[in-house]
Amino acid sequence: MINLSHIYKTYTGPVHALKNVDLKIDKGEFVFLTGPSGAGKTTLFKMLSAYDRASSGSIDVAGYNLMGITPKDIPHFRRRIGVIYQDFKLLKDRTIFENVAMPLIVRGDRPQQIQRRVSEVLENVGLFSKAQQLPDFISGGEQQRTAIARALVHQPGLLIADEPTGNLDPELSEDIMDLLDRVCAQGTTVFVATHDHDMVKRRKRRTLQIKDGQIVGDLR
Amino acid sequence: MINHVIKTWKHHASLQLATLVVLIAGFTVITGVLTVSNNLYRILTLWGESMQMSVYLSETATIENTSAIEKFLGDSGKVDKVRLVTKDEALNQFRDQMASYAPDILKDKDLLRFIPASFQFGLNKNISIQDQLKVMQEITASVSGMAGVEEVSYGQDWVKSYGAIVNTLAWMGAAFVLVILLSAAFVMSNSIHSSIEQRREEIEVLELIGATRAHIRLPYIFEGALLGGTSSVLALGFSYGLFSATKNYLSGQIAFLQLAGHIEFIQPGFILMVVGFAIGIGALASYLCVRRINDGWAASQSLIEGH
Ligand SMILES: Nc1ncnc2c1ncn2[C@@H]1O[C@H](COP(=O)(O)OP(=O)(O)OP(=O)(O)O)[C@@H](O)[C@H]1O
Ligand SMILES: [Mg+2]
Repeated sequence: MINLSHIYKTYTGPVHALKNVDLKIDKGEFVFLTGPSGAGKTTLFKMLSAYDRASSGSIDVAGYNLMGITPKDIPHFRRRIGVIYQDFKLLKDRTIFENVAMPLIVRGDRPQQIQRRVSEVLENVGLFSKAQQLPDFISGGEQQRTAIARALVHQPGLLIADEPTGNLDPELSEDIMDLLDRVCAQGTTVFVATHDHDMVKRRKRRTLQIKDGQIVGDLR
Repeated sequence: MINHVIKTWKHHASLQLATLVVLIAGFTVITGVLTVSNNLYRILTLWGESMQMSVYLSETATIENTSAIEKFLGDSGKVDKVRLVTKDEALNQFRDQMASYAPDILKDKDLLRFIPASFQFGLNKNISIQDQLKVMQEITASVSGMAGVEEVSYGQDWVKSYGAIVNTLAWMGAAFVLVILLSAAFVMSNSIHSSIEQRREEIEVLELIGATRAHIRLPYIFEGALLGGTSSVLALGFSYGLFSATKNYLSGQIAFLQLAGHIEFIQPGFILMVVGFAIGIGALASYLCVRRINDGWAASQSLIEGH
């Protein structure tokens, strides 16, 4: 599902955010990514989700070669994956329902289908009652769950989650992780960045450690 | 698409309003310039139509000479209302005009010999005012050489300066309209640019969730076209109001110039051109602008990158 080799990412500065990263994740795996702040977790996810281009190396995700992807193919690749952004990336002028429905709208689903599927996902993240609110009028945790719902609504083959429980209380965090487990059980590959070491310990999943832009551990 | 526009207005009302106002102002200026130059042209054309040419026949001109000249003028297709003024008619006209000033002159029998017969005519209406001088000179050149022609006259000096004025005005008008059009296009694309730039976040997010280029761009292009079209129509209405007020002023305050009857608003063809130009430039500006942002990697190029 994910195959990275010799990935470098250098931001202007220059900041060497990723240095010679090699990584392989199989279809259906559930993998945690941990590391201190500034280690390069978000940067790695940006490379995997075609949010940004790597400086060098090769990236294969879900059958797409992201180093050579054409502008025409980018949307099709992005429809195959779901991403929970650390900063959510919700549109402030659209309701929670509309935000969550967007991945289905852009691929041209029928309104009835959209209605049904969005309601279902909002139910799963406990936001059904907030469907008609605007993002600015709900709590940070609720915004985070909206972002989770939007990443799951189109049942992607790969879910990339950048600190999906960062704003949630422990109980809700557990609920969300259970939800991600269920999604994984249905065949989606799940890759989660987190600072929550207790949760990582409890869940006993493959865990990658990143530090200063390099993978320094891969615990199975 | 309509939803997109409604949403834009709901959430960026003041920005959209500012853009609309700028565009209306721009198109009002364009319409104003077009109206003024159109009317200047009309008035100059009216003057041009009243210009007369005369071909004076020599004493020795035969009937054949005369009809050859008449045939030549008629066949040229460039002149209108060719009229033969015989010696007697010319003399009578002269008498009528001079009777009150110098009755003595009329008793002079020799005078008859000095007033020649002539062809009087105007230029064909289809000849544009820029070409009038050239056409008059051409006619003069070819007719002067014909047998039985004494002299060709069209008030040479006056016509020359009239022609120069018309040409200068035409060039200045064209240059001015071009400058105005270019700056209007510039102002439009600028305000549409900033209006889209403000919504770049939406484009970024749409890209990230896999919207195609067409899906992202079409609503913006439609919006640009609508903005251009609406503002030009409003500007035309506004200009028409200004025009009517001016016309009223002309017929009231300075009626003696008799200009009011001759001036008119820009022609329907021009109106369509202005609206078409506005729609086109609105759509084009939007397209160029959204295309620049929507290159597939919009989010990674965002200036306000959050973590
Ligand atoms: N757009 C950018 N331009 C310049 N430097 C950047 C940019 N984005 C990230 N960096 C730098 O790259 C390094 C890795 O950042 P990254 O966001 O990947 O860290 P992270 O592991 O996600 O941290 P956190 O746990 O705080 O989210 C940091 O030193 C950061 O300052
Ligand atoms: Mg991060």
